[in-house]
Amino acid sequence: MNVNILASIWNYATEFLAVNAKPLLQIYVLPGLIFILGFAIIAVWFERKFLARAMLRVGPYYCGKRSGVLQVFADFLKLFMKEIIVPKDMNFLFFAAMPVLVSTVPALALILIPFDANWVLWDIGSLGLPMFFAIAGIAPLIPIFAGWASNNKYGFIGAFRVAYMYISAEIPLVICGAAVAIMAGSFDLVEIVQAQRNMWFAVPQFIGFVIFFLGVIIESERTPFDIPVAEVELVLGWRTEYSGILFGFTMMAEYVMFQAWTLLFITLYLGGFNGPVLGFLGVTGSHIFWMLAKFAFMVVLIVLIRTVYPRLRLDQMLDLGWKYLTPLALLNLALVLGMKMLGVY
Amino acid sequence: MAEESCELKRSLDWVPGSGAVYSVVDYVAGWARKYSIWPIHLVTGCCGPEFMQTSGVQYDMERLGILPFASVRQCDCIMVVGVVSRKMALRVKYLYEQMGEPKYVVSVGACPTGRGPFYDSYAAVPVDEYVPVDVYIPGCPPRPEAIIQGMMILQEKIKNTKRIGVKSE
Repeated sequence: MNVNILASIWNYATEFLAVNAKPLLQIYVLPGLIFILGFAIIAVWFERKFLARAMLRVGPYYCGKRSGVLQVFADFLKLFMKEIIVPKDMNFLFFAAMPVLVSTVPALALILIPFDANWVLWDIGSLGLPMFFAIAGIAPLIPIFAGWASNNKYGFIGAFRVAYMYISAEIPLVICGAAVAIMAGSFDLVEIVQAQRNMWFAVPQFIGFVIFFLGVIIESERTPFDIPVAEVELVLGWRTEYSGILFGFTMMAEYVMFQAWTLLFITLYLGGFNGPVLGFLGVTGSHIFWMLAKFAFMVVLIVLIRTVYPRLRLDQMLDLGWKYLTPLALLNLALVLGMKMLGVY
Repeated sequence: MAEESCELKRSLDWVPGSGAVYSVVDYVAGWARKYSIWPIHLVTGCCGPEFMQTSGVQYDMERLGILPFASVRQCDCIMVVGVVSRKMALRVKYLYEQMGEPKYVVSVGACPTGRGPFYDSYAAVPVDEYVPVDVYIPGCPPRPEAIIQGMMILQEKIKNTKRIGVKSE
């Protein structure tokens, strides 16, 4: 009797795994959990080490046997075991929910990215690109709520800066996305990638490429545009009141956001998963390989930009967004329309 | 916070093998805290340049995992760098109370340790009259090597703290 029940459970489990192997792999490994967490861990370590080497320092060294590879784990464990301070007269649930949401909502946008024509976790066809912008448009609301919830003047100023910055950045981004969709003739991310089989959209839409690259850095609050968490002027912006593991979540959010927008940038402009097929990996494997290789290149480039450039002021950022990026994005759209009408593309 | 974690420890003492679990948790906690000291630097005097150089090119405190931070909520350690007057001492106390447990204080230089060259001033106070100090780093100003040795002594102290939860009372 017991053996029968165990055997049927075993059969059920093996059948379940055999049927759902690909979705489970997608959820837990590639666009999912391990990719996000692994990237956050590797990127923090790489960024600290790279910044240190660029400043002729050594960086984390003694934690872990070589090169401080365990530094991130030490930091995470320490944050996990640290006291969480909740200021007086505050709705704790609202205060504590925001850091959790701020790292999970951009992860939702990540599931739309195609790593291969049949390796998309949430394949919704021609709604892909609008859905990405919709989900990524919710994301800046959460830092605003976090700054509001923390009831602190620096947090509040940081929240307003988030609002200013995202509005001035997202309009040119959406216009560029529209130009890409017009050129590819579809909102479907897989079809956009397949339209770039002969030439990456970075070449005919060079203006949009540059705008979107700046937009990726703005959206992920990286250093030339880390205005909402400006470390010297606002203590830590909207993160000021968060302590312990809640602060750890806000730090991770930066990397998840960075990941989602960079992968979208690669999909729209750098040819997505297109690339020469490597024999030993198979078609799907080499597509995933090219996606990850382009992603690694972009990570190195953006970290290098962080080492080199200082931060913009808020008014310079708004000037950039409204006076330069938006008109140039419109110009890009007009050029794309012209190319379409003349039949060049 | 301090009392709660002691309560937890006492209530679980009857479980066989709990002592081993405590020591493993203590070991892991000590390791993580040792390599992840995030100090906030309260630079009020001329030990500041030495402190900057300690984070700078030649001496690089980040090798030990010590990363200076801007906001006191996320920090573990106050480095009092320079002379502390009576008014400033109140701010040191505010900072100390805003920081989450476990928290440490390092007194860098002769002034916060024992008033240093301002020994006959009416205003200067030693910082340990206001907050509990873990490590005193002597010198006027202390060289970066001395500051790094002080931080390593603090690391040893953190590692050898055998209590679940918190350090201070």
